[in-house]
Amino acid sequence: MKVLNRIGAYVLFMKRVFSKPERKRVYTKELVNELEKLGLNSVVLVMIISFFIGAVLTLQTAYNMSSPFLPRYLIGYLTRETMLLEFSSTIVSLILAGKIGSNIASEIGSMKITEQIEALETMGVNSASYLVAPKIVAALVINPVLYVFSVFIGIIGGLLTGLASGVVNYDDYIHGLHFAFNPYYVTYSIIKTLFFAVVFTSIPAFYGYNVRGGALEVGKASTKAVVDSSIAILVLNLVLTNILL
Amino acid sequence: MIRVEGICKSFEHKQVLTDIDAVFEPGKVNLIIGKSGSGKTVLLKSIIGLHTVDSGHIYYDDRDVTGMDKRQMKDIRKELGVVFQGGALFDSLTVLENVIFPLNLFSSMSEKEKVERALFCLNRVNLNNVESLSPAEISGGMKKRVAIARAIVLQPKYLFCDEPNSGLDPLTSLVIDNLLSELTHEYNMTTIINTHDMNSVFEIGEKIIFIHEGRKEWEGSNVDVMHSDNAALNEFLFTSKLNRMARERFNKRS
Repeated sequence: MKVLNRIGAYVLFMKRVFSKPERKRVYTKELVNELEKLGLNSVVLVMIISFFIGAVLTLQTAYNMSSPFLPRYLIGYLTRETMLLEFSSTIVSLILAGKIGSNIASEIGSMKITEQIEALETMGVNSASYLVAPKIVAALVINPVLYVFSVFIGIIGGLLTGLASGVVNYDDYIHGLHFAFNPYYVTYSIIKTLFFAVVFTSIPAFYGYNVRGGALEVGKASTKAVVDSSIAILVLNLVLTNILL
Repeated sequence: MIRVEGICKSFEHKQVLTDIDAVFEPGKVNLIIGKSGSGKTVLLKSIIGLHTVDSGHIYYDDRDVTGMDKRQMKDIRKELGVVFQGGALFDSLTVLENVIFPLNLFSSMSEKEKVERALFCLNRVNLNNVESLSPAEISGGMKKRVAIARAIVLQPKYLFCDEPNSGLDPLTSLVIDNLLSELTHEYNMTTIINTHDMNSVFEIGEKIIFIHEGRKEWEGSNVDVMHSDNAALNEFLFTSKLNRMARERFNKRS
């Protein structure tokens, strides 16, 4: 019952978030800020993680290929497939749910307990829409970009590590990257990133917006937000994979 | 003028306000006083429209706001300024951007005019050279003054302050009280201040409404307070020896 209540409250909250904005100019300014906050500030993290995961995938694949009959280009192929299908969409979104999600929940939660949200309401601003809609739109724009970026960096990480360690040569790796490439996988993954973007921004925003109490409750809301948005991403991943593949 | 009639408000079966009638006059500092938990903040937030009342009516100059939809209420919102207990300044904005914020929402001024108006208001609350600072970089008293500047930037007809002196030293409290009183008379605003600061009651309370256990127990001015025989009010105001002495001295003199 409690879960149903929470889902109902979330749906009503989202209805408020996507109601017609009063002053579009103010929202546009916020959107630019959010693109910087959510996107640019996450690029370095995504780059580092993707590079090292790509590198490790290459090494692990190479060390598990004990049979001499397995072609070496499979290293490039498996690195590409893993990055393309799962890591750069789902795992990067899970990481962003931790980084961005906790940030959003604590930011909006702090605004709630310090009456900043009430101040917005007294000025006639739909606070839910003003605070949350730009974050969701910014994440919808930036998450597919981060996905493409992550795939690219991951593959480069794999190539450089493969060459440095000598487990694969350049031609084999590049051949593996081209081997049996299905462009639909990119479409499928980008669709997933769009859904995940809504999840890792709206669920933390919902928890932050409904904080009651003080700093302790903001911390609890932040933790709950990360846990619930991570679970929602995993469940959605399963559902979308079933539908789209 | 703001008039409330028969206001009742409850939260989850707990009655917080019962049948409150009051008139808040323009050009005067109207105080709502009462113990913590007496319902004064709920009353103030109900008048502002942050709480929906269970029954009763709230009139802003004969405009009944209790039945208004969001669009109708928006016109009223342009006419009111609110100073929250902690200032409620937006952390992500500078002091100047905080003061400009209502102008971005409601005015058609150019950017230059907005900056000029915001600087004028900051200057009016005696704040200079702080416009580029963030709220985290200024003191509690300065935050309250920035909040007042933001509240008056649209030249409101109604000004609401929720415990503007909380957390401030006596000297800064006095500065804030005097500032609110001056601005009320200067702009002929209907100012409603929610407080339990005794200095505010005695210094600037031109009209005082005392809320006790969710009901209006007493109303009068800061002079009437000194002669009141209401037991609950006297217990609230004159529990401290200092306040009792002040009343005795005042009564002897008059």
